[in-house]
Amino acid sequence: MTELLSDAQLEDIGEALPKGMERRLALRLLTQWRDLCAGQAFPAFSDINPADLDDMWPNCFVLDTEGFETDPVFRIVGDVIATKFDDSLIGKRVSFVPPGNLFYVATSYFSAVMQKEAPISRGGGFISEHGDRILYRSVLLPVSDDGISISGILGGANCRKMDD
Amino acid sequence: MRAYEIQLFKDNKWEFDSYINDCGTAMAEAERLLATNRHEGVRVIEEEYDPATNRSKCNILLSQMRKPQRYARGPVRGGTGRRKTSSKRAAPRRRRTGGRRPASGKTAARRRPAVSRRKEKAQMGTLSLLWVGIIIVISGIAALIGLQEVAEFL
Repeated sequence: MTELLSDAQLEDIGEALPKGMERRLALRLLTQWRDLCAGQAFPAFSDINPADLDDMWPNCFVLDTEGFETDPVFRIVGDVIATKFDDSLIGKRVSFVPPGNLFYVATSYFSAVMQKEAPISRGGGFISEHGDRILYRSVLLPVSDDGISISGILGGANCRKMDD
Repeated sequence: MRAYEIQLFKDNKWEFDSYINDCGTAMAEAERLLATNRHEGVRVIEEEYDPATNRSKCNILLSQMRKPQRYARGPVRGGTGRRKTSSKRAAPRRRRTGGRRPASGKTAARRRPAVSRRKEKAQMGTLSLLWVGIIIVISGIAALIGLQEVAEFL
């Protein structure tokens, strides 16, 4: 069902960046989010410009939480991260994603983001449904259209297969 | 269960910024935030939650304030080591040190660049020489007139 791993897919996008520059997608996205906040608690969706996110955008996804607080809906899925799942996730609920998938681990803590109203980054390892050990890094960033209540989550994640 | 909370010092209090579950990443992010010099202080708190007892232990792993701005200013002469500081950053520093009085004429003159001070000195020297010359010429003329008067009298 889920075609998770191919060497090209698992290549860490940060590896192509110049030396000295932050390579971790999660931290780079977090920095961008802070800049977008510009003194506010959360940025608005209208503040997010895919062009500003450069090479990060293909590894990003957007969850709609307005009216779906307990089980958000995928609204946007980046081209690269979309390849980690066979089906299109657009319009699907987070609960639709089965365990053993990057989307599963990357969205598993959305409720903590809603509760704490702050960015959360998680990384670690998981076993894919094919039995491979996968390392991943992810970040979930709250976004608000009215600047008060969270109306969505901007997420970013990447992964690589652990060498045996 | 362990989590690392990054806090930023803002308006005289610590405010949470983000949560990261990896110690190395959290510390790296804190160091990076400090290096940007955009935040007054950064700290990392390790939170260990025990679901069995529903208690959490907190441990401050890093707590660092921004270096004082005066070290960021370079020497006036030379100019290459001078760093630009935005007015936004300069303002709170003034508040912390109890406010700075407006510069008096003397201090303002002292702060003038060395090049303009050298120019001023050179101009002053030229003027002095001119005045001395004028005085010598006038004295000479007066002496000549005086001598003529004496000669006529005799």
